[in-house]
Amino acid sequence: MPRTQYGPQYDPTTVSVGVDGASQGGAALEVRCPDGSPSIPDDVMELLSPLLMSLSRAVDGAAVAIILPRSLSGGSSEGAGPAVLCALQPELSLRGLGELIAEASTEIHRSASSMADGAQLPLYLPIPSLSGFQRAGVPVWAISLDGEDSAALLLMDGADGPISPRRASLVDGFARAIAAGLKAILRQRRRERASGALLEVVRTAGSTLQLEEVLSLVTENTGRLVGADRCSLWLLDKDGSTLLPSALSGMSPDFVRQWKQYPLSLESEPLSKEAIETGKPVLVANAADDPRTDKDAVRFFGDKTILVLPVVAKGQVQGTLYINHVTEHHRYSMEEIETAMAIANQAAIAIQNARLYREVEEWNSQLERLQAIMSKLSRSKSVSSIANIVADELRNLIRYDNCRVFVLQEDTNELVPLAVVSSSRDYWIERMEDLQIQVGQGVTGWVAQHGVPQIVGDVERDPRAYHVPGTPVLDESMIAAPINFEGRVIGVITLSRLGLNQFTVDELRLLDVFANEAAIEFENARLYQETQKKSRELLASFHRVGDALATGLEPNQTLQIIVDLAAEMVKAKGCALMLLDEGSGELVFRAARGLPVDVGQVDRAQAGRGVSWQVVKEGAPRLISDLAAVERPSWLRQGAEELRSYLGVPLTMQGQVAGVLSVFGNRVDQFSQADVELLSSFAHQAAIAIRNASLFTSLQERVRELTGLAEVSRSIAKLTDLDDTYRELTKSIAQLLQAESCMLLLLGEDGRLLPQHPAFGFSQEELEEVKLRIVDRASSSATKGCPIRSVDGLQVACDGEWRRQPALLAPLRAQDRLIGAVLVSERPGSRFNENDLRLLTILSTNAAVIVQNAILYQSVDRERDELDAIISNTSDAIIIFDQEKRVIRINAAAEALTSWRSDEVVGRSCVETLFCLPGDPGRRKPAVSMLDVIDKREPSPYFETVIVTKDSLERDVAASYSFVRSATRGESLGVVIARDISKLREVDRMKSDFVSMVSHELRTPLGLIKGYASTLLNPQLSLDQPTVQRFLMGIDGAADRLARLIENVLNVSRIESGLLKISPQQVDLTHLVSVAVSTARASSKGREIQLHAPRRAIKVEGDRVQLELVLDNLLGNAIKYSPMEKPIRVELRKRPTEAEIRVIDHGIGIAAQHLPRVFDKFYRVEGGQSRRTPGSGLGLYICRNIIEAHGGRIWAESRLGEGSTFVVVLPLRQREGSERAADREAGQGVEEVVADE
Amino acid sequence: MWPMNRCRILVADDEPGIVDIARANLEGHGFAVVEAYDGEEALQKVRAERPDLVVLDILMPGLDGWAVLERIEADPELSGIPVIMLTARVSDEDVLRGLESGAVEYMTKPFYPEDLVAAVKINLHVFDPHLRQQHRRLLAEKRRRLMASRGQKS
Repeated sequence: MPRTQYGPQYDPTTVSVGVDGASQGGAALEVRCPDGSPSIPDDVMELLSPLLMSLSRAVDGAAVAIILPRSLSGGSSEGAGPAVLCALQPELSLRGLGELIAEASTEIHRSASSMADGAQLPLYLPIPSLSGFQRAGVPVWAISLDGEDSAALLLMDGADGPISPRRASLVDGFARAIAAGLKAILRQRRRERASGALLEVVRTAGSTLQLEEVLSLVTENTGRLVGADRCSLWLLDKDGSTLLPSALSGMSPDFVRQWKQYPLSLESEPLSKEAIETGKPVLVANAADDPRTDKDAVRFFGDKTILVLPVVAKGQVQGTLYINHVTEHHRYSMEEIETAMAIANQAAIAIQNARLYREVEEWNSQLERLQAIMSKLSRSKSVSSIANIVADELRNLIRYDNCRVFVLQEDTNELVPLAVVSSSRDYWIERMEDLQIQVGQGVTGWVAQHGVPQIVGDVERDPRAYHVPGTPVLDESMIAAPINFEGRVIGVITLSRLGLNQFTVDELRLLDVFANEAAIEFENARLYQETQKKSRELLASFHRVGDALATGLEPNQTLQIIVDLAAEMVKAKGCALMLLDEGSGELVFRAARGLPVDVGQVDRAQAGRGVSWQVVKEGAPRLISDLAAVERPSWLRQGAEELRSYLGVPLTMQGQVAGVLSVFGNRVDQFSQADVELLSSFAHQAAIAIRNASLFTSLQERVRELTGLAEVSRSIAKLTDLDDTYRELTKSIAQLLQAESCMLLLLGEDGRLLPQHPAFGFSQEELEEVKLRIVDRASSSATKGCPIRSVDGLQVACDGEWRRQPALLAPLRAQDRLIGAVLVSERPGSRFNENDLRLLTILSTNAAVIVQNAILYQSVDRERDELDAIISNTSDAIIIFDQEKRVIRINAAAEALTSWRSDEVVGRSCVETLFCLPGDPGRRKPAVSMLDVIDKREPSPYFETVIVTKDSLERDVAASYSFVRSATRGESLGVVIARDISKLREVDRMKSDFVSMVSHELRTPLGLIKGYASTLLNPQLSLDQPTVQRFLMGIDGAADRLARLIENVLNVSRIESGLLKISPQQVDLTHLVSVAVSTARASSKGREIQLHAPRRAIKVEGDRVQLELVLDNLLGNAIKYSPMEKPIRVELRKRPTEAEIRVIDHGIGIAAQHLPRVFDKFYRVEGGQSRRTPGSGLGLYICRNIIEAHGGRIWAESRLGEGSTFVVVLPLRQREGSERAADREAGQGVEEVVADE
Repeated sequence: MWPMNRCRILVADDEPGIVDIARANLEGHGFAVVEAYDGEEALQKVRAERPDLVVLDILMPGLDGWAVLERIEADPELSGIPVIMLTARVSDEDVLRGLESGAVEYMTKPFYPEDLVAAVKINLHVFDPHLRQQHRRLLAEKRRRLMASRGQKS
């Protein structure tokens, strides 16, 4: 049925929504009464509207209304809820009726609720506001809804007198129908609520691990579910004998705090006992009469119904849950009980989890507290200094004239003032400082006793006041707050001001809060002091023990000290310390004295039944007065016969027996009960010492690990080779994390992570595969920059197969930039933990820096190598020097140019070495000297100069001079780049020499021709015939010379262009040589030229003209370069396969260094003779080429000043060789002088 | 003319043809010619025969023309003898060197024999210390011109 807004004429707060009943000629209204009551749920409205409409019709259109209980609308509180009003008589003012019902609803509902079951219906309620109806009261039908609540059905027919029985039974029937419908809805509602509560418990229990929270959730939800007044949860303590009050709902927080301080013995709680033993709910329907209930408690709380549920998780009883109904008896449905059980079971699991969590947390917090104490110790913070800080800090919060901070001395139950701070002289601090207040004495003592903060307007007149003797009476007011720690009062803070009623409640509250916050500080300090005190006490009794144990932190040493001390303490003959091995569960000797056992030996023989084992099992000392009474353990049989008595005490660590300390006496009945206690106390201390030692060892290991890490980082950072770096880095990381493999992935330009070779545990091929398999996934995770645990694992190749391996991946960040990631995979059978992840994070930070550096170094290195290679291999000489002109570097070309070796000049001044020009007057002075250039200190892009080599040779160079700014040296370096142009220069010189020579050589014959011809043509000169003849011959000869010269030049150009041709013909060398000698003799005006040659013809294959040219050249040279009077000798010899011609002179000779070059083109021996001796520098060059074209050789042998010998060797004709062999057979003496003029 | 015709000219050249040509021409003009074929011989004959004028080639085996000239000029007894250089060396450098070293004339090959004869005659005419002085000034002028032209070239 659609619900519509009824109309604007209705006050929305009272009558807001109507049910459109127009089709049936009426309307149903929802009346929100009293004000602010919840609206009627749809299902209720859907049930009621047609029923009421029908009822109205049945009662002739009279108005009917039903006032619903608040609980039906989902409200948690009780009382009247909204009502539904319905009338089919249009003349009735629904609005007016609605307002009336709204006013009277609470009263009507209360009346209806109080009607006993089976009361006569209808009930006529005298409701004044409805007195408009002329009747003693309004007929009301009470509709009881399953004991939970009631609704009231009203009939407003405006009639007078009692309602007719017919109409009454009619309405009665409707009332029953409505009741049935509403009950069904309520049941539905309850089911929903129960499952909602269950869900809530399950959800929240899963979401929190805080025990307190879990507990209060359980009690609140369960209580709400069954509409209980109180719900409490009791947890069993560890030994299962005591019920600890743990959570309570439905009471004030103050009450709960008090309540929690009273645990109950399980024995005294038969209800819990029954519930725990049966594992079933226990229902007490009538608490006052039930024999199982605690009557005092029932009276105190006014309990009527009690339901006790066992809280059981995984078969383990956690405690019991009490659900108490106080205001009325509650009839539990089975459904409710089951739901409550379900909640209790869920709660049990959550409680178990939370307990476990709390245990872990407690252990952690104990450690933390210890650490805090230690840190306070290091800052020498004592309780009193904290008290002073508290007093100081309070000054900033609350103005006071006097502040006192007390702590509770638990043993004496006294409050000891730790800080007294006064800003007024009226307070006699000296006296107060010594004042100790008993708990319960004065206001301060009262606060300590009750744990409740107090504000006192007039201290002196307070009944609890305790006046400190000897102090003046003051008008003062004070506030005092207890310092609570974990539900205990550990101290009190009081603030006083002069004057009455000075403090406000807000200030008290502030002090209370502050005191609670300070509590932790106090507790820590107190714990520390206690620890100190205890250790002082222990030191007093065992001061040697303390001393010895405090110094030895090395575990084995500590154990030995313990054994020694224990033995001395009880004057034992032998002593042994055995510890349970965590892995094997065996009892192992860890230290011994005076016993025939070895450290590491296992007490196995007794298989857990020996004396030591019994101590372990019982966790209690064991004294055996005479060992004869028991079976001796195997290790006590041999070599220990004199041991007669035994005392063993357990070593307990963290509540667990971890080992046994045993002493042996050589007398029966040697150890007394005092010894037992002494040794027990000692064992307690020893256990702490052992634990400290092992903690210290693990700490040391950690330090070693970190030190190792640092060293690894340092040593790797020194590596400059990238491969080495990666290899060592991945190896080190893998070792530190005990990983199977480790690889570095670097971020490529495409944003992907690429594995780097080498990596630990991977071959290069595997790395390639890895790239394909995992990298995409890893990239996306690691590029976000947080370390991850690979859930899927890394696929690792192993023997060609791929398997998944869980792995850790940590990003590598260098200077806030992601450069890659490091990936480590687990060793089979071991798991990475959070520690590993943390360590990897640290490692990756270092690794990032190392990798970054290595990459940078390598790129710099590579660039430098490239540059180096360029400098080294360039053909130009490069010389680099600093500002002091000290040579920094020269390249190979510079070494070759200067003949200086790099190691000879580096570090020396280049002025003294490379660029040195010896002051030799004979040397050329270059137009520009190197020193001039580099002294100017400005770049010179090109200049030509001369460098003198180390062995004093001059080299023409073309050079440039520039500066290079050196970042590493921080100065600019001079760079000279030089190229040897000596050869070019020489060729230049040779060419120009050649030109002048050719011109001279041309001019000479030309001059002759000109001169002869001019003379002949001069008519003034009367020349005789012989002269004319001579002149004409002169012209002829000069023309020949000219022709020869031209021939020479042509020959050179032929040689150059490869056109030198020999026309092979048989040439008789003997003849050729003798002709050449004759010609030379003729032209040299009587020079003595000796010829030694065989008579027989020596035949070679060759070009006659060219060979003639060679001989003419050689003879010409010999004549030219030797004085007139020295004879020239020509020898011709026949060798087995060759003919040899030697032209020997005794002239100026050729220096050794020129010898190899005299056959070069244009080469003329410099200095001395050459300048004054005509010659084109072509003759020998042509000779060499001609002889070589003949397959022969030509060379010169000479000594300076003694003459030269030019040797030509030509191969014989084949046939000639065999003739020669025949000649040899015929006899010697073929060779003889042919001519010697 | 007569005493002039009796003048003796030393011609030194390693090229016999040149000596032959010079002799034919100089003798044709009534000069007596002393021959030398290398530097040593030339110097020796200058000393021994005190010719009135020396025609000197530069490129000769042994002692070259430069050396001969130097020694003549260095010897106070010989320095009065005018020396005409007759050479195939044609560079300005050589011309300058010849004139600076004291040669009165520098002639290059190939040459007109008449020019040589004319040069010889001129130099014998001015065989008068005063006129010679004048001639030296002219030579100096020539030198300056050469220097200038060289300067322009470079």
